Amino acid sequence: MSTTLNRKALRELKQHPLRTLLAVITIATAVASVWMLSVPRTLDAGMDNRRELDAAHTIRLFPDNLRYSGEGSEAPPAAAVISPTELAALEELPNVDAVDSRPVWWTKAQIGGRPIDVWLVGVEDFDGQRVNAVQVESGTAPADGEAETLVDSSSVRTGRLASTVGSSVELRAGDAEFYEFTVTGIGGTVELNPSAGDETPVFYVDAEIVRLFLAATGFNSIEVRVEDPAAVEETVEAVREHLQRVAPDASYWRIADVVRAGDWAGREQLDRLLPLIYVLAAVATTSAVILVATTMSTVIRGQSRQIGILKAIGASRAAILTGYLRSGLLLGGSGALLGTALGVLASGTLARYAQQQLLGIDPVSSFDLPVAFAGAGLGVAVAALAALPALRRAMKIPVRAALDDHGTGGGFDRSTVDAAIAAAPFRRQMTRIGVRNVTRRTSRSLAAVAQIALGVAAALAFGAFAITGVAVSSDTLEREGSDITVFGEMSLLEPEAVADIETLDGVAAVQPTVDARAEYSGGRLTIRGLPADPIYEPQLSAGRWFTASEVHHRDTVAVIGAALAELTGATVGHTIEIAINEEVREVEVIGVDQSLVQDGTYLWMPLTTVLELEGLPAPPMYWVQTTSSEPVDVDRVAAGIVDILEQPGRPVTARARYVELEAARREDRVVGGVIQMLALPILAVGMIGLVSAMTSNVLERTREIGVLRSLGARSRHVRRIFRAEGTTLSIAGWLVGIPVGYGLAHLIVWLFGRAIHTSLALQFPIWLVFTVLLGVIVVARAALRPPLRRATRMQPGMAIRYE
Amino acid sequence: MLRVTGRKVTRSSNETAGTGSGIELSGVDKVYRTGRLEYRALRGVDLSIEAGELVAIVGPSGSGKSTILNIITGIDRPTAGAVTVAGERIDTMTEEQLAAWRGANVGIVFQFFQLIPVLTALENAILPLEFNGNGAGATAVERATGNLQLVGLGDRLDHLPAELSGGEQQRVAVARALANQPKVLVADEPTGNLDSKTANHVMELLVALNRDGTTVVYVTHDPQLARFAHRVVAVQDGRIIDRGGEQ
Ligand SMILES: Nc1ncnc2c1ncn2[C@@H]1O[C@H](COP(=O)(O)OP(=O)(O)O)[C@@H](O)[C@H]1O
Ligand SMILES: [Mg+2]
Repeated sequence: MSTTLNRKALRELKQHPLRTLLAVITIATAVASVWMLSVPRTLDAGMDNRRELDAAHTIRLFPDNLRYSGEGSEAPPAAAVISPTELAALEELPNVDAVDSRPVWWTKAQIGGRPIDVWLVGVEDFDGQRVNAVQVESGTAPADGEAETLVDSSSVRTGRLASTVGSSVELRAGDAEFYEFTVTGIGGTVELNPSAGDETPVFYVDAEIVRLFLAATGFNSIEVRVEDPAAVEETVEAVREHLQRVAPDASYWRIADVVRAGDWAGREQLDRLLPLIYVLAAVATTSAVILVATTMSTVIRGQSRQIGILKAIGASRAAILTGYLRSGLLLGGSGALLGTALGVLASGTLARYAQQQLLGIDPVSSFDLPVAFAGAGLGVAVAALAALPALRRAMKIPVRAALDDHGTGGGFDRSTVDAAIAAAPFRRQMTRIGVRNVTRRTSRSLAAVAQIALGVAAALAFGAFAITGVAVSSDTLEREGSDITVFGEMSLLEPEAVADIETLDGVAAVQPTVDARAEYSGGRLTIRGLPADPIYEPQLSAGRWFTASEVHHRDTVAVIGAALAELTGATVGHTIEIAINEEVREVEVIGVDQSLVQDGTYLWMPLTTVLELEGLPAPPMYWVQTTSSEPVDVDRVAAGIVDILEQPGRPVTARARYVELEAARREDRVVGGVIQMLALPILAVGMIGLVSAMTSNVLERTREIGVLRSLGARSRHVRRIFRAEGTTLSIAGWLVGIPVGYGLAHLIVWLFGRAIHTSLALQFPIWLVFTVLLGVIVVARAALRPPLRRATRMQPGMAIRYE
Repeated sequence: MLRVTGRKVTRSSNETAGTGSGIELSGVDKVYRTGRLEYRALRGVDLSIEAGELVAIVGPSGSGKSTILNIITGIDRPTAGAVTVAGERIDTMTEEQLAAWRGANVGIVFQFFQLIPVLTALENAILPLEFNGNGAGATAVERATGNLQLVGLGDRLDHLPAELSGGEQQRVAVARALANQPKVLVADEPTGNLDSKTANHVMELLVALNRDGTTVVYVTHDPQLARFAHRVVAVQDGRIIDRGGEQ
């Protein structure tokens, strides 16, 4: 008996290949959606791998250890305070794995006729790098002592540099002259690339060349790699003690940045996306589970007569159950296999894209065993369990009724819905049949509606999220207002000198500003000093901007960013304590700024107040607004500003903001792309739900189609029936999906906002809602085509005998 | 003997084409293929039914009765042979042409009624009119109502199939089959699921229709019911063993 049932299970699956395929694909989608969870882990693995490859530092110190020869002096520079041997001795310390040092210099590169700020990072020996090894991604490493450079790949990737191997670039030396370098390659090292916030492009050059360039000796960056990151604190102490002992005169402008285990540049940004990924995986999996349950119950419902026959010939409940459980396991197993392959492929593609485009590393793929088990287990379990409710129902049908189920008349009773439909003035009978069919299979129709609703909700939520993100981000960028930021040596920026800039052709406004770093109870923040009528357009959600009188009196009042307000719990009328240069100040909050400049963590204060707090005689930075924001015009004005202000040996920077904007927009696009790719499984599940609902509708009514054809129905009549049905289901799903999508959009935006400590105003445009409807109807119609073609091509005689 | 009949059929085929509602099967084979298996359900069937005849087809279960009917209505295709019904060669038509042809010429009554469960009796009876483009308007309703009254269901117009008894359902099916005033009415064990009293009622209906000029072919395995026919054709193992005195 049991082996016959076994054979029956297998044969049934083979007998209905289309339905079996659909069930397997559905289960596979559920399994594949679990694989989204592996993406962050793969990114982590990729970064760990790259950090391992680069021998990335755990501790980095910034000593003032470059010694220059005096200006205009021909004499060689003095010896550096910390000598290479003293440095090498660090390697003897316990837990220290390797030590490296380099001269790093901030200068300018002449690129496309425009001077831009760049970092020159010196590499002692490209073949023997010990820490933060610069990897050559294309081309070759610069040769020792040659005017050659390796261009940072992330600067190229983000469009900040357009260098290609073999091209040349002019780099400015300490004597303010530009020297031509040949670009021999593109590459970099993760911990020194600019992605960690400071986006200045990087050129890797032979360390000797940097020193020659500067007429200097020594280095100003010490990079230490430890063996056991868990014991890094003790090692930092030991390194400090050692340096203190061997070079007591050395000073440091920043001492000991420590990279914690599992931490990497950009990690924070990824962490922000984690809740999103979890929500997406949960939604995708849930909807896939619903879909699998529906599919299984469709499979079983189609067999109530068979179950009746089995019972009639004496099969026990257990025997029948095991038989169907076997079908379920068979389907689940195949689905799990296919889903795992799909999941590996999709999550791998996504991880690869994110690794290349966001992290700028060689993609690493990893097979996530826990996720593999979870996914496959889910597929098998769901397929088996999902069959149970339908089976239980099928078993309860009296044998007699089940045997009589020839699809001859039963199964449709009047309901209130039907009464309404009957009363509705459908011009065509076909439409009426189609719409009534929806109410006929109530539970399946409900499941189809649920599936479509989920797909609609996902499309709406992610569409709205993307629109919100773009709107917020471009609004923020627009708000900053200035086209050029000018900074340089203070004496060059005395207000009298700057006055000349205002007369430059193409300059609309010039405004002094200052950024100061400060600390508050929750961490670091940036204070930006501005006048009472700033170029910057705040988006005040509460309070006001500071007045001319407050600026005049150097009041310690501040407008705070929304994220800061949330983090500190402060609002208008409160005071918050901040520490500037180790001194604690009480600042009165007079306004809250909703805009997302610096992710809403800024503190805006009167310019005069900040200058006083910082002990600065004049503003160290100016914002320039140009009359035209065309890149050529902005570049021309920027070059003009540098011409006016700069003096030999004392550089002034005029940074064009459009370059940063382009890079920022590009990054937005990549992040948006990743989120959309993560949303794809949900959409896919929704679509498969729709397709599966449509297909099983057609399959299940093959006999009815045969009858209609026997009565003279043309294929267009049959199509019309199912189209009406599909459209009804689509519209119902769409209607249900709108509020769900609206809620989901709020959830996602809220989660994302919480990650960046601010609240975003959700944009939910009505055109999106209708675009999604159109999409659903188009997909429903497309989904109907293959099964309908099959059904209308089948000889009616065969169709009527079809079971 | 078969050869002789074959010739005879070919000749009479031309005659019935003129009258427009006769049925001609000549040399019809039907082979069912399921995977590796083949089953030859009909073997060289020649059958000629004149316009206006009332013919019963009898035979044991599985002998090919339904297959013959299905081939007459074009809902199954012969593997070999020619089929001419109501003056047209239907074995060469496409599915789409067949559907249109059926709508205009043939009414079918199934053993299991096969009503559309979501439509009322009246709506079921209008359906074939709609397929022929005559479904809209008062005339369609009038005609379908008339057909339902004819089968004695004038008071059940708005009932759903589930709300009707088996006999009533089958009568709706007859009314539906009459929608387009078909030249040929075909019924496959129309009374197979009905008690004998109801069965007689349905049979009387078919006889009445035939009296009005419709060619009627029905399958039954009940000798009582076969007696309603002018002629009884017996089928066994896919062959016609008795053509009941075909002219
Ligand atoms: N779709 C099919 N596939 C295979 N064999 C079939 C199919 N339909 C009918 N048959 C076979 O053809 C033979 C004739 O069937 P049918 O015409 O339905 O017989 P009857 O109506 O006389 O009982 C039967 O043996 C049946 O098993
Ligand atoms: Mg039969």
